[in-house]
Amino acid sequence: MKAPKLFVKPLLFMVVIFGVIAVVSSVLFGNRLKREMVREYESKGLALARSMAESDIGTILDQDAGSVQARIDRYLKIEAVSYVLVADEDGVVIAHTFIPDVPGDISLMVTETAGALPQDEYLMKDVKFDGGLYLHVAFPILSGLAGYVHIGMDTAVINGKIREAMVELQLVTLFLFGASLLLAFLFILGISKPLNQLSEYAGRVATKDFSNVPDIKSRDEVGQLARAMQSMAWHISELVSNLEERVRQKTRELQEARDDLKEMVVERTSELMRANTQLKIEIAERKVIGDALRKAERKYRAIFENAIEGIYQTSPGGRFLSANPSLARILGFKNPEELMSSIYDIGTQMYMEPTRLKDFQRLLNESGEAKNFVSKVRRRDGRIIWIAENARKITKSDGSVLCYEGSVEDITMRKKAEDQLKRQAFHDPLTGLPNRALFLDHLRLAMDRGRRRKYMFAVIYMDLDRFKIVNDSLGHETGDELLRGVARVLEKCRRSVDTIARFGGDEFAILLEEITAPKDAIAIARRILEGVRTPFDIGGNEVFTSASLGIVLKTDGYDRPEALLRDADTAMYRAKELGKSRFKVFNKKMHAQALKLMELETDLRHAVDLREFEVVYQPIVCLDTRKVCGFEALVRWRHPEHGVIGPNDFIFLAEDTGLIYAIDNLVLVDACAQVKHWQAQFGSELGENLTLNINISGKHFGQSMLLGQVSRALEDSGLHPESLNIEITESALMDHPSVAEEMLKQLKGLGAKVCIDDFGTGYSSLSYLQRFPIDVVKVDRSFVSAVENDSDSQAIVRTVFNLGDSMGLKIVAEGVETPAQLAFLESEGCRYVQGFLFYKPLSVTEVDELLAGGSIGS
Amino acid sequence: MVALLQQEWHGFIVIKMIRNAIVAVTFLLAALMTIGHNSVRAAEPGELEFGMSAAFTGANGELGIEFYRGLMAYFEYFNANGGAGGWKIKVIPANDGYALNPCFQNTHQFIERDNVFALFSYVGTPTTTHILPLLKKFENQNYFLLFPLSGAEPLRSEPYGKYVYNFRASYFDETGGLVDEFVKIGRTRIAVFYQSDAYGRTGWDGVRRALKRHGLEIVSEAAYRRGALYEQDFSLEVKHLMQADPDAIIVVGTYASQGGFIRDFRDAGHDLPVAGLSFADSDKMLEMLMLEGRAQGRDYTSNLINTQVVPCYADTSLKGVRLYRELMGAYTGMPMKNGGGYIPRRFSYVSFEGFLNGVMLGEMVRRMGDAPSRDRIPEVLESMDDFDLGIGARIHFGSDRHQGLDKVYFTTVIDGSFQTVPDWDRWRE
Repeated sequence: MKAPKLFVKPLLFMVVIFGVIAVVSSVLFGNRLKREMVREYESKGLALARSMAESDIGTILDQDAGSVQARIDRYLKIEAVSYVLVADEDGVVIAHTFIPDVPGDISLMVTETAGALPQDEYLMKDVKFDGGLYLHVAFPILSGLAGYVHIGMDTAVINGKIREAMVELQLVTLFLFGASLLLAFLFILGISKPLNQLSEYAGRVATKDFSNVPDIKSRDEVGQLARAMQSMAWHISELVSNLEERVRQKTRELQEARDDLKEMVVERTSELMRANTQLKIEIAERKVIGDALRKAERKYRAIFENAIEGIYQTSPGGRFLSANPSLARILGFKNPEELMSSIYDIGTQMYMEPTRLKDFQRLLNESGEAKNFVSKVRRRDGRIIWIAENARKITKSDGSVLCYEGSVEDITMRKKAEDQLKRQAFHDPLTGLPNRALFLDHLRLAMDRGRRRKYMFAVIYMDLDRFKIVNDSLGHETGDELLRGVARVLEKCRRSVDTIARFGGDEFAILLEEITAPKDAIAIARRILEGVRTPFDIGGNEVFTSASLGIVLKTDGYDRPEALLRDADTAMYRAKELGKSRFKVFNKKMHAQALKLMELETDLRHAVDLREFEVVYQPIVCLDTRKVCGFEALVRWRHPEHGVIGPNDFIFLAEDTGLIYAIDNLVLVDACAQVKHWQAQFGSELGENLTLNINISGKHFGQSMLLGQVSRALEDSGLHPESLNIEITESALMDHPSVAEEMLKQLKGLGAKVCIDDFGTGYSSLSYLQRFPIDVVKVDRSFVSAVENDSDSQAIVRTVFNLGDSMGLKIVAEGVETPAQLAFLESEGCRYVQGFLFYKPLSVTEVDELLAGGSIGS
Repeated sequence: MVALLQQEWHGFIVIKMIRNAIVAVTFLLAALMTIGHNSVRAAEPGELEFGMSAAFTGANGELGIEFYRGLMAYFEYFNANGGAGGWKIKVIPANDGYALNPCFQNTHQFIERDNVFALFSYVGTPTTTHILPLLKKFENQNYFLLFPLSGAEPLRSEPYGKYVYNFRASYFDETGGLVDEFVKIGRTRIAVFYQSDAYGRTGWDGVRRALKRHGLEIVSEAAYRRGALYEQDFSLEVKHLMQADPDAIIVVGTYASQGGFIRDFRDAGHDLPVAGLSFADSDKMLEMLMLEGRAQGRDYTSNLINTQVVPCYADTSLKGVRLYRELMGAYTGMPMKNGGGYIPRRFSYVSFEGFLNGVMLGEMVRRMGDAPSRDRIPEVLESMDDFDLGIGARIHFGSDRHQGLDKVYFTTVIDGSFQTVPDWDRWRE
């Protein structure tokens, strides 16, 4: 609660008054209290002294100091008594309570007092010693005849009492003062509150707020004031509100008129401003656009003039509307003006094809533009060039054609290059004949035609017989020349619609179109055979050759040209099989065979995956001991449907399909492990020196992976490399002698031995026996089987044994079937044989039994 | 005024009561056990109870304990030998801590509650003189105070002297003896250091009176407050006394204050003879000074004289001494369960005095063995004239003589104990 201002003055007044009262009362009261206390202490001291002097006269008279001491000791316990001393009548101290000794002043006073005090009078004076003030009372004992009692009252105690009383008094005063203040405050608050309310109200009236009239009900002067103020305020309020209402109305009217005017002015002004701004913007825009237009015009003009491409605008009627210098140059004119004045009909004067312009315009009208529209045109000098046009149609707002505009590029060079490329891509560079791709293209088209309508065509597949020999013996150039000659023959034989293609090497294909009957094709085939048989004059030499032809006459029912070609190829092979230099028409039977082969191929793949192969072992017998000294591992295919299939029936297929690698490896791994097993099982006598012959296909032999496979098989099985003979055919060696030589060396490096199979069947010279590191030679079964009757064979066999003997080769005769053959062989020094005479190929269990039984020998 | 004093006493009592709770309980039990006996006392022999208020704690505590042990050594022997005509002696000890009010309360309880046969062997002048009015108050019940350990004059003079029978010489005797001996050897300038109470004043008065006989006065004096401890510094008092250039100091104090004073006196470089009174328990004081001497590396025991009221306990030529040594050597009792760290001294002047007190009391009981009663005490004691305790001097009581012995023995430190002064000439001035 905030103290009212009215309260401040009374507060100050009261503080002063109370202060004065407090001081005055303290002084007065203090003095009075002190007087009274002093009086009381004096009377107390006197009373004590008197009581002592009168009560104990006996002991004092006895001068019994101890008893006196005992008494005065008790007085010390009385409040404010500081010391007691008893002296005799002469002032000699009998007992006292000073510690340690009686102070000099007291001692002097005691002496002086003795005899100096009149009867029954007492001495009372203030004494100071040791920093304290004492009320000293001396009282005579027995009127001074027995001595004197001296008592000291400590005045410090008196002062302490006075101080306490004063503090108490002032506290009470202060409390009263505080209470009065509170009362005064409350009283003044009662007066000041309504006054404050009124003054606040008066303040509000000044700001024309006549609400919240303070409600003061007191009947005193304040109440009257309040009522008077209320009525006054009511009058003022009425007056003011009337006046204000009129003023407000007038003001409002004025304000409205003014606002209308103002609004109009603002509107007009802003309209003018807008128009002005618009004008300025337009001017600026136009200027900018004009500049830009001029700049663009200049820019595009420069581009137009300097472009390398020819740029033009033409009318729908076929006239140039504008042309740039490049176009003039492309078309052989000096400048655009000359061009535009010379050419008035593009359709006839420029395009070579009469309908070209129409095509061009139709394209533009349909799609609105033409891209890379290539045409042949005539230059001014009459030269023909190729151009590519990119053009678009420019239309009027009503949709009708205004003009065409576009660019022209001279692509003559490019076109020539493209034609060249195309030719190279689809033609055989050696003979100039279409190649396989183009042939297949034409074939596809022919097949399409055949499907669409009744259309007969035939395909001939041709392969030169023994071309390889020609090539090898007379050289590649002669071979090439021969091929070119054959091509010319073929071209001579064909009709204009036919397509002749060279597929590479000595293979050709002929597509005979639009034949009426199969005999047409046969006739052509005959002509070709005859033509090819005719000797070719190459570099002054007459070179003879022949061809085998396969013909597919029934060309419907093929989906793919490749299949058709394959069948032609099949027929051609059949022709070769039948003795070469002939043709063979593909028929149903061949088809079935082909299908069968395909089936077999599929089965073979499965067989490899499912490991349907097993290895049989044909023992090789040493004639010296008539004991088994080794085995030739032979593969058998245990076909789930066709039963056991021998290698002759599937190895060629495995070679063609590449499955041979897996099959060879399988045999290699199995056989190595098996022979090692036998070696270990059948001890030193039989097992240790058992050898293993493994047949490796010629195709496989050329592969570097063979080496790894052999070494891994040896490593895995633990078979001694010396025990292993790798058998390869003579032809395998001779196909790639250098590769074979390297391979042999590496195989020898592993420690394995090399065996030549079917020795004597190839065409090669015997010199390779020297050239290659060969260990074993197998005499082919065809010679062995003939030794009984054929003296030539006898001679060959004998020669082989002699050769082996002199070259340190081990010779094995295979296919020994009769005792007579054996007898001959033995007589010729043969030591190792294999054949049905001794053992046919045996299964593993059979070999186990054989070795276990020791029944070796015939 | 008296009421005021009473009030203060009450306040004091409450505190003391608590402090001595154990003792109080002991008293209560003892009182309950003896009520029956009191009623049949005249009929057949039993225990005679004697109240003993003494300081067993505080600055003068060992004095009370020694004193008690001395007299109990004899009573044990006395009771063990059948007492006197079947009457045995029981002492009820009560500690007053050398303070007046507890002593007063103890006494009051002995009379009102315990109905003791007599008050016996109180210790200390101020405490003992303080209870004298009680004897007068209960005069019709014939309560007497027997053989207190105090030489104070109020115990020997009117108005209360008639209720007290003293065994020992008075302080006047002791101080007078000392003054006479000092004057004899030419030491006439005598200063007094005394306790500011009835004891000190009596001693002081004794010195003053003795000097007066020689026409001399105390040359200087210094008082100290009762209850002063040994540790208190007395160097100011020493200085005050020495201002008058005295040639001998007489100390009327307790063992603690006298020991402390001697320490500071000697530390101040003064080697004047210092003489003390029997109450100062010279054995205890000597022990303190020797301890101090060992700690400080100097001798505080030379030129010390102490008066005794009994002969030297080392003098085994005396029959009484021999009995004392025999019984005391075997006694192990204590007035309180806890001795407050006090280690009993084998022999001492104080216990010897207590022992002789016991012999005296035993003799008294013996002499009224047929029918002990309080009113016969004066008759029986006064019959003990020229009684031989076996200590050389004889006991003389009479109708006007309430003090058995007047003999004062002067001792000084010889071979670590207070023994009879062989020759005063060594201190001749």
